[in-house]
Amino acid sequence: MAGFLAGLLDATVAAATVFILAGLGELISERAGVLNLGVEGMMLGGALGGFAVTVVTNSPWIGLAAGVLVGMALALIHAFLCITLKANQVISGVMLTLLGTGLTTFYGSDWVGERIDGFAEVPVPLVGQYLVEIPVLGEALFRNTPTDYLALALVPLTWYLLNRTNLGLELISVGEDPEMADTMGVSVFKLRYLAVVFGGGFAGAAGAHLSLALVGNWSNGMTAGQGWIAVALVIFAQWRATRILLGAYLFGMLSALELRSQGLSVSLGPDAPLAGVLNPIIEFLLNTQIMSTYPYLATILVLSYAVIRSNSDRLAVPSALLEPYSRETD
Amino acid sequence: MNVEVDLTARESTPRWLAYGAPVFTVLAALAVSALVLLVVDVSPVDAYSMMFYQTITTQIGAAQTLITTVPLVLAGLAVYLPLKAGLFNIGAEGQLVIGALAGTWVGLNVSLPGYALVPLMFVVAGLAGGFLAAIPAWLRARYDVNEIITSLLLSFVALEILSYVVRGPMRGSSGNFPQTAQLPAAARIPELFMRVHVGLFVALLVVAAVSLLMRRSRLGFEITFMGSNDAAAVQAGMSRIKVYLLVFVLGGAFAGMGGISEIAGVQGRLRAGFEPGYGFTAIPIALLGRNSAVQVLLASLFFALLFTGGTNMEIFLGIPAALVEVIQALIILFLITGEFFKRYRIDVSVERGSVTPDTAGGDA
Amino acid sequence: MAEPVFLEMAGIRKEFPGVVANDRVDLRVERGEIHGLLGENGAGKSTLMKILYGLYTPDEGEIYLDGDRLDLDSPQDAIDAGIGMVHQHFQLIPRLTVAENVVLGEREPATPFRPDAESPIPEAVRSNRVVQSVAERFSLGLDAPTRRIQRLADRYGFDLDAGAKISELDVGQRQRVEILKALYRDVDLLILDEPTAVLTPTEAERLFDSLDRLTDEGLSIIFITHKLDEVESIVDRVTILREGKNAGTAVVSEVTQADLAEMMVGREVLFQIEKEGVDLGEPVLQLQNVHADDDRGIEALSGVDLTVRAGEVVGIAGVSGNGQNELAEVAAGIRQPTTGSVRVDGTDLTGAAPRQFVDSGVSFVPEDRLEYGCAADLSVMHNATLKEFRDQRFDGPLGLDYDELEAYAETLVEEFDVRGVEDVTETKAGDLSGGNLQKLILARELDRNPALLVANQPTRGVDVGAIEFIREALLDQRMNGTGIVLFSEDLDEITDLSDRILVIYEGEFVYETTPEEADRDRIGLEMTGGGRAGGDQRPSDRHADVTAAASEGER
Repeated sequence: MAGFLAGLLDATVAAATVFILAGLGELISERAGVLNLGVEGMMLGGALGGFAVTVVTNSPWIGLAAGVLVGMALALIHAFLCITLKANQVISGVMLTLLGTGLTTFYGSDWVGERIDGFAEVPVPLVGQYLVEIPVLGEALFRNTPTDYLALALVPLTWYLLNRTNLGLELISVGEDPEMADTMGVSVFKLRYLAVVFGGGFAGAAGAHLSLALVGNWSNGMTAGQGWIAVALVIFAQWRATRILLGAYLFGMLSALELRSQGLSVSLGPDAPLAGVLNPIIEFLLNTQIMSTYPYLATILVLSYAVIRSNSDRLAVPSALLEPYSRETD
Repeated sequence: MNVEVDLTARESTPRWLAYGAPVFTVLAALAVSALVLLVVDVSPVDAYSMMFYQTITTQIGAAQTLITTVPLVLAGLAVYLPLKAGLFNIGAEGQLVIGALAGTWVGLNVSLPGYALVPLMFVVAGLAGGFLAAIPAWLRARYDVNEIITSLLLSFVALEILSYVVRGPMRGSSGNFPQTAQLPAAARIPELFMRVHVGLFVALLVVAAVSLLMRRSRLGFEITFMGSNDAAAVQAGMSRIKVYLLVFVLGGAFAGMGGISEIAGVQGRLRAGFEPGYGFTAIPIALLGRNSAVQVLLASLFFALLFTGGTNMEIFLGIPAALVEVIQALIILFLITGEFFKRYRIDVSVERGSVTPDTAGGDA
Repeated sequence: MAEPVFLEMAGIRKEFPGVVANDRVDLRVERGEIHGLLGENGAGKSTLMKILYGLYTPDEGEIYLDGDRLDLDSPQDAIDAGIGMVHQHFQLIPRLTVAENVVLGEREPATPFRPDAESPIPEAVRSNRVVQSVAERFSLGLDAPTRRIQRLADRYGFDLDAGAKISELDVGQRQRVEILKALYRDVDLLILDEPTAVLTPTEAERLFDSLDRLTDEGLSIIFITHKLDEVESIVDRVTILREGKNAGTAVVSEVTQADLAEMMVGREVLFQIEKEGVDLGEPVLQLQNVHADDDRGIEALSGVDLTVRAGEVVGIAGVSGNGQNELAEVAAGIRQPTTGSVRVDGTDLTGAAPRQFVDSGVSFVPEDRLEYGCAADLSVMHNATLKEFRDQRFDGPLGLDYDELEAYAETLVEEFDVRGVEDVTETKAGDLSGGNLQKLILARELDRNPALLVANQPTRGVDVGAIEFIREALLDQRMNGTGIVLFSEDLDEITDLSDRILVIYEGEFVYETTPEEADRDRIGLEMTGGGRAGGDQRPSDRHADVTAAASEGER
C-alpha cells in the first residue's frame, strides 16, 4: 500500500505540472480579459515543437525553449484575431485548437517513434538527496524533473506579478474595465497582447513538459484533452494563482489514479453490509473513463456553486472577459 | 515618412462585401492551405481538383457529401438556434454523441418493426441530446452560470461516457474492440440511393421547420428579442427560462438526432470516436450561416465537401486528413477576418514631410 | 493684447458619419471659475468634452490651455496637460481599492525605489534609469500614495478611506474617488459630466461645497448639465450649445432661467400644462402591505399600500434609491414581492409571471430605456410591437404576420411623431435619439390603451421638446381612463401631472398630499426623512445608495 501511495503521489506531481503550467498561462490571459480556448492546440504545438527540437539538438532545454516559442506563436494568432480584429474569443479559441491539432498531426507523423532522453528526474539541490529517503513522500516531493520545479516556482511568481506589481495592477484593470484603463494611460492592446502571448508560452511549456519529461516521445493528439482540463481548472480555481496549484494537484491526482485504477481493486468484503449494492457502484466510480469526467463535473459544480452562492465580487471572474475593446465606438 | 492606419466603424456593410465575404473567406483559406501543401511537395492544383471537383462530379463523392451533411446540418442548427437567442452552445459535440448512444441502446435492446423502431430511436436520441443541452440552459436561465463553459465541459463528459459504455456495458460480444454489436436490420435507417439514407429528409425537414420558426412564428419573435436584449424581453412578458430552455433543448435534440442518424444510417454500430468532431465543426457552420437556417444548410454542405474531399485526398494522394482540420481552422480564421472588414473600414494614409494628402479612401 | 483666458477651444468641428456633432464651437474658461456647459441631449456637449479630454480628435479647431496650444491624442495627453474628467458612468474597478484605482497608470514603485524615501538602496542605483523602469513595472508601492490620497480626501472633506474597496462605497463616495483620481494627477481643469444625475439632493449639496473649495484653490471646473436650477445655484458663467453650435455664453447672475431655456431650445418653452378633471373609476392597481427585496436581497420596500384608480395619476416623489425602482417593478410585475398582495384591475396577480401583468393591461415605461425598454440592435418594428405581437390581429397563415406588424409600427411612428425612422424594418431602435426612442416606447405602451401605466422617470435625459410631448401624452391617456403611477425626481413634473402625491422614503410612504395643497418645502423635508417624528435624520439610505451604485459602476 505504501508503495502504491508513493507511486501515486510521484505520478500526481508529474501530472500536476501540466495543469499548473497551462492553468497559469490561461489565468494570465483571462485576467487580462481574453479567454483562450486554444490551450489544447498550443500544448500540442509546444509538445511537438519541443520534441522535434530536442531530437535535433539533443538538448531538452533548447527543446523546452522551442516549445514555449511555438506556444507563443500560436497564441499570437489568437491575440491578433481577438484583440486587433475584435473577433469572438470562443470561436477564435476553438479555431486555434483545430489548427494546433491539425498542424501537429500533419507535421507530427514524421516524428512518431523517435526517442529522446528528455528531462531526467533530479533531486532538489543540496538537501534533496537526503530528503528523497523520506518514506512515501520523498520521491514525490524531492526528486522531480526540472520542469516540475519550474512550474512550482512559477506559481508564487505569477501571484506576485498579478497582485504586487504595477504591471499586474494594469493587467487586471485591462481585464476588468478596458475603457477605464485606457483613459488612465494603460495600453490595453499592448497588455492584452502581452498576456495572451505569455499565456501561450506557458501552454507551450506545458506541452513540452508532456513530451520531454512525462512521456519522452511524441504521438498525435498526445495531450488527450488536458488542455481543456486546464481551461476548466482556471474556473475551478476562481481565477486565483494559488488555487491553481491546489486544483492542479487535485486534477493531477485524478489522472494519476486513472492510470492506476485497473491495478486498484477497492471493494467491500462480502460480509460488509450492502456490499452487493455498493461494490458495483464503487467499481463504476473508479472506472478509468468515469474518473476522467470528474474534473469536468467538479468544475461545473464549483462554477455553479460560486455563481449561485456568492456575489460577483467574490467570484472574481474578470468583468471584461470576452469583451473586445475599441476606442471611439460609443 | 509616416504611415497612418485609420480604423472606422462602418455604418452599413456594402452589398458586395456582405455577399462576397464568405466566398473570399473560403478562397483565402484555400490559398494559405496551398502553401501547406507545397511544403509537403503536393501540387495544390491536383489536391484541390481531387478535393472538390472530383468529389462533386463523381457519384460516390456527391453521395458521400450528402451523407456527411446530415449530422453536420443538425449539429449546426444546435449551435445556430441558441445563437439566435444570444447564447453560445459549444456543446453540440456532446449532445450529438449522447444522442447516438441513447439511440443505439434503443436499437439494440428494443425489438419493434423498423417503421416504429427507427422513429423511436430518433425520439430517444433527441430526448438524450435535449436533456444534456438542458443542463447548461437551465443553469444559465436560472442562475446566470455561463453556458459556454458548461456546455463545453459537458461535451467532454459525454465523450468519456461514450468511451466507457463501448468498453463496458454496451460492448459487443465479437472481438475486443471498443464498440457495440451491429444494429439489427430493423434499427437501420432505410437507404435512398448510393448509401444516402432517409436521415437526409429528416435534416431537410428540420431546416424547414427551424426556418419557419424563426421567420414566421411568435416564438421566433421571442427568440430574436431575447437574443437582442433579454431584460427588455422579460419586461415584456417573455420568459427567459422558457426561451433559453427551448433553444437549447431543441438544438440538443437536433444534435442528438444527427448522432443517431450517423450510427443507424451509416456506420451500423457505435464505437469510441465514431465521428471526427462534427459537433465542433458545427460552430463555424453556425457562424457562417447565422443569418438563416438555409444558410446553415449551405455551410454544412460545404464542410461536408471538405470532409469527403479530405478523405479522398488521403486515399488517393496520401495527404494526411489532418489537413482538413487545418483548412477548417483557416476558414474560421479568415471568416473572423472577413467579419472585421464587414464592420470596419481601414484607411491607410501615407504622410510625407508636412504635406498631408487626403485620406486614402476606398474600402480595404 | 489682453491676458489670455485659461482655456480656449476655438472653432472646434467634429463630424461623425451622418451628423455634425460640433460645428465650429468656441469655449472660453477663466481660471478659478465654475463654467457651465448647458444644452439638450445631443447638443454636442459630450463630444466637445471628449475632444478636450483627448478621447476624440477634432476635425478642425484648436485648443489652448494657459496660452499653449494643445495636441491631445489620448486622455493621457489631457491628464499630462492638467485636464481631468469625471464621467457619468464611473470608471472605477469595484474589485480594487480606492488607492489602487487612483494610482492605476501612475506606476508607483515600491517604497525602497522611491526617490524621496528612506531606503537601503544607494541613491546612484535608485536613480538609474534601468532600475527605475524595472521597479516601476515589477513592483508596486501603495504606502506613500495612500497617505497622499488620504491627505487630499481630508483636505476637501471627502470622507473616504483610501484603503476601502470601491464595491463597498456608495455613489457619492465613488464620485469623490473619481475626483481624487484627477486631483492626484495635479489637474488644473476638471470636467464634470452631469455629476448630479446619480446623486441625492444632500449629496449634490455636498458636492457643490467641495467644488467651491476646489475653485478657491485656483482649479477651474467645467460643469456639464441640462438642469437649469443647477446652473443657477453653482455655475459662474455658462456656455450654451444647441444642435452642435454655440447658442451663447452668459454670466449666470445676469440672466433668468427662462432666458437660458430659450437659448437652449431655440424658442420659448412653456412648462405649464393645462389639466382637465376626470371622474375616477374603479381601482386598477391595489398593493397591500407589499414588501420586496432589491437585487442584492436587502429589503427595499417595507410595507407599501397603494391604490390607483382608473383616470388617476399618482405621483411618487422621493430621493433616488428609496425603493422607487422596486415599487415600479412590483407594480409592473417583473419583481416578486416577498409578502403582500398585488391586484390589477380587480384580479389578484400576486406572484404571477410578467406575462400575466402584460395581458391584464399593465404597461411599463422603465427607467433605463436602453437596458430594459428596447432592444437597441433590433428594428423599430420589433421594438414597436414588443407588447402587441401576441394579439390575434397579427395572426398570419403560419403564426405571425410580419406585414401587419410593419404597418402597425408605421402608424405608431407617425402618431407619436418619432423622428429619424427611415424604414421601420431597417432603422434600429438604438439609432434613434433619446427623446425619439422614449416616444417610441411610450407609443408602444400607450397605444394598447392599458388599464395601468407604470412610468418610471419618463422624461429623464430627454430633450425639452420631447418632455412636453410626453407629458401631454400621459395626460391624454389619463383622459382615456388609464390609471398612472408616475415616478419622477422632478418635483415640478410630479405636481404638474399628478392628482395625488405620495412621498417614499426608505421603502415606505411617509407623506401624502395633493398638488393643490402641496408645499414644496414640506415635500422636500419628507423626501429626506426629515418629517419623521423624533427627527430621525439619517442623511440617506445607505444600502439603497449602494444598490444604485452597483447598477452604475458595474456595467
